[in-house]
Amino acid sequence: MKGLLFKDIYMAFRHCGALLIIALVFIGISMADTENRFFSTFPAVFAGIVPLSVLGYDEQSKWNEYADGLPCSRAQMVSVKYILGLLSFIPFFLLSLAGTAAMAAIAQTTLDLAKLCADGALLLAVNLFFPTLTLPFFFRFGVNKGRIAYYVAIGLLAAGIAASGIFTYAPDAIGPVEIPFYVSYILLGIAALLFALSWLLSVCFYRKREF
Amino acid sequence: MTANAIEIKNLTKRRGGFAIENLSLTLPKGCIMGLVGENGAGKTTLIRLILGALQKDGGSIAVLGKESGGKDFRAVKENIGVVPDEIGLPDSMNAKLVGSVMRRIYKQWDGALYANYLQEMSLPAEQPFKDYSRGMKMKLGIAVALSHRPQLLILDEATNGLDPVARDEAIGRFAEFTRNEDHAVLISSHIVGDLEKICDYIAFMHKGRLLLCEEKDVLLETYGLLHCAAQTLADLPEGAVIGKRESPYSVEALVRKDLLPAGMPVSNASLEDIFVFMAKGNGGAETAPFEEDFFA
Repeated sequence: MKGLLFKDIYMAFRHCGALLIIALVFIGISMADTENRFFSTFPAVFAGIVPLSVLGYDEQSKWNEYADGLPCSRAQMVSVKYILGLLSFIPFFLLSLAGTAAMAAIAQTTLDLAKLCADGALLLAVNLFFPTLTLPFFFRFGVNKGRIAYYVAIGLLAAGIAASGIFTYAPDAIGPVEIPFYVSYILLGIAALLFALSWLLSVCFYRKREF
Repeated sequence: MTANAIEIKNLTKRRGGFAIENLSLTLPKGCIMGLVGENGAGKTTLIRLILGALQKDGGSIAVLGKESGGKDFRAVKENIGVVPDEIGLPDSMNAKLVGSVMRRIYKQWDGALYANYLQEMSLPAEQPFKDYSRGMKMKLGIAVALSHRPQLLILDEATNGLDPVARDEAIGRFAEFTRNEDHAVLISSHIVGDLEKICDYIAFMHKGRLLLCEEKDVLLETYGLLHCAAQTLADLPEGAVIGKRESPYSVEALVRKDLLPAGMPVSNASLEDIFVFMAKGNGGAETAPFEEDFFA
């Protein structure tokens, strides 16, 4: 398992570095346009894309078939992608955190720790949503067919994030109507539960998959 | 401790229109078995079944004494070295990084041995895998398969893509590997000449069936090539002719030497002759155009 993770982390750094740069641009835009949650939230989606990209490279190089000859179980091969999904959230979250801190410094305000945690929880929920929805399809049907799920997930997330603006601000735009912090934690709880179910489902699918 | 590295009994596997039916095969320890057959004969499917990568529909497969795909099979794989027909290592990795990955995968990984293989095989450790030639990729696959000191090597077309010198070296390495009587090799290849050099046993697959599994020396002793007139061939006892190739002037046939009348001149048949004639005799030409130089 350690070897599989080592390989995937290397692949993520090697091939997904550009996503960090795009995330940086998004966070930069979100600093200029603080009312738009899309640019501050969407980098979390990039983190969710990382395991899918690595899986795509695996399939391209036929690593999956090669790994069947190694002392690794199919469950481990699946699990490592879910773990990578969690790990890849860290750099994107740190980037987002740095953006928030920079904004606070520019506005000369103090950081609201409670809000920061709630935002982090929301970002993590968004991050989990993507692999949760797509990985079972990828493990069941392969990367090519799994891409349909990928596009659906992108569409749903983009729509969801855009729609979240309705709940963040009052319709008359007089001022922000904050959603209670606990909502973020509830969403994270739901996302974590679905993530775990998706993990189990992927293991079931991949155990039966024949190359 | 079992005396066999691989024991397959009544194996059945159906995939789409293809099926392996009731296949039984035993590879004793200390031996090299060559698996031959045309493309699509089921060699790779059989190898993936042995590795537990495919689920069988019936029968049993024991590898180093444990049921393939069973609970303990991951531990068994610590003792298996596999070289598939395509080495599926990530393109962006180099041999050094591959070593770092494998060190974390195999408990018995021997980094010094791996470095030694890289040097012996003239493989640049820092060059990305994507820049390797097919032969170099195969060599790296072989180095990886040997560097955790396995007991069983499973090689699927592992000598394909290697130049004659490298092929000879690889074959020498596999032969050396089985000097330890606990070791065994299962090697599938189209290059029958390579198999003839090193194999103790030959298993011949055709359309998912095992046409024969026999000691190489017995095969070479049993079969011969007969050049004669068509009428002479027709007069031979039933079962003596395995396959034939006719021309307007003569007939060349693979025959069982023990069923021929005494004194009939028969030349030695190579393994390649045996398989080409057997494949044709079993309808190989009906399904796909059979290339004469297929086993060359």
